Amino acid sequence: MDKAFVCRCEDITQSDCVTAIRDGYDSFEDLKRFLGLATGPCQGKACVAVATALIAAERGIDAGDVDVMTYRPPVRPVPFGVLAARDEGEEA
Amino acid sequence: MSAPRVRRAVAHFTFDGRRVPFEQGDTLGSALHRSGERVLSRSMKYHRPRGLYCCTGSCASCFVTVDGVPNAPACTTAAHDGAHVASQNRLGSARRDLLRIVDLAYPAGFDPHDAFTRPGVVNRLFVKAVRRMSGWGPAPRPGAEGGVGTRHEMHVDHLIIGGGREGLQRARDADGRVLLVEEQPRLGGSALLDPSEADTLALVEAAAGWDHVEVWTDTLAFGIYDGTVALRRGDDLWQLTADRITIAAGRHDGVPMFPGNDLPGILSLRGAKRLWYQHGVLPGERIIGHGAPLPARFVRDLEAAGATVVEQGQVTAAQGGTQVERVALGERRLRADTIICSLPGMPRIELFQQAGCELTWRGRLVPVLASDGATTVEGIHGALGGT
Repeated sequence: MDKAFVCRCEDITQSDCVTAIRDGYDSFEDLKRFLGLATGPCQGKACVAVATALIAAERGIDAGDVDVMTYRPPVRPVPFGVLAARDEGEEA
Repeated sequence: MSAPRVRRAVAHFTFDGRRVPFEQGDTLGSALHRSGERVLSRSMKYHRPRGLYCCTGSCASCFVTVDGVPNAPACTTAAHDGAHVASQNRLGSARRDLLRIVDLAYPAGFDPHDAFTRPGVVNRLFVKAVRRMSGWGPAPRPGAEGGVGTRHEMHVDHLIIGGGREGLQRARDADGRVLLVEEQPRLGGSALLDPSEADTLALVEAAAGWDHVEVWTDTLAFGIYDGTVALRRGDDLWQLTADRITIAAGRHDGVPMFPGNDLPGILSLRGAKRLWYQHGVLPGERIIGHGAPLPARFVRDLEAAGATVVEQGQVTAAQGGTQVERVALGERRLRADTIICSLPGMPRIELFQQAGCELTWRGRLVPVLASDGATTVEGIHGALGGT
């Protein structure tokens, strides 16, 4: 059976997640820290819904009771040249 | 709109050295798909073939290096004449990546937490090798990226983030001076991909005549810091404050879960619609629908253009060397080159959460909204619409 991917950015499979949840990494933040889930360039856009449902199913709880990860800016990759923007007339 | 208008090739770029023609309005991804190229990159760890999925710049599976700058989403990067585009993270070519051996050697997955960790000298060699074999493309050549931009500050009565149907309706009905920002080059959001959304397209036309609304397209609201919204316009940074902020940023496409769910040729419904209705590129020839039934009109349009929708249902596995070739629906095995996934999306909650708005789970994560769209943070409203 081929792999099924929860997180494509970091190549994390469904079986990686299930094993980790059963090993006790059973909150979203724990799973994220242990596997690197949701830490790639998409920052959780694809994987959060799937991983949340997976944690809920493994623990036998409501998905609404699974913790929500912290989404930090930027929502998409932004070049440093934008973040380092200078005020008008400001010298380099 | 059933038959996209006839276009003709206007110029060429190269992909891994091969000349690829493109037409007016093409992205790198749409031009590559039209030319038959499904494999656009290789995955970070297992070097699996990856390609287009969402076609909205959100899923990170189609990143390419353009003129020496890595990690441009092929699906939203405009094609330009003479561009040198290269696939990333492969030894050889995107189609034949010798490092695929990592995937084949570890069919059940490779766990770095306990592999090659001892003795220390082995671990050091392993880490060195892994760093060469995985990652996200080469660092940009000095000077290849854009320059340092200019910082601006501005205050408006009402800032609306997202130029789809919801954002347009809120802008039309708003009091005071409105700034409407949209990350795509055109207003309209998903309505641009849906022939049945004529009323939203009429709003796009009308918006040009709204005196109280200023529209900024190609503008990304990338974060909210202590009530200040950070916008990227080209190389420039705009720091905006507003008496009212309305977040109408739409949704991210749902992703399927079955073995082989990452193969090139698997597209979200919106991605497939974008290829056809916006770029005139047929998503595939033998198509399987996964999840909810595909819109009947889309099926008719695809079939009128020569594709076959072989079957619709719940896909249980996809197989193929570098793209979809065989699809399982339970016990049934079908030959197909494309799977279109019609799955519930997830609202783009990033900005809501950064602003401190309370979120809740209603089948997916959503902000808590009052009937008038107010979030739990004063001055911040949300509009989810059909998301």
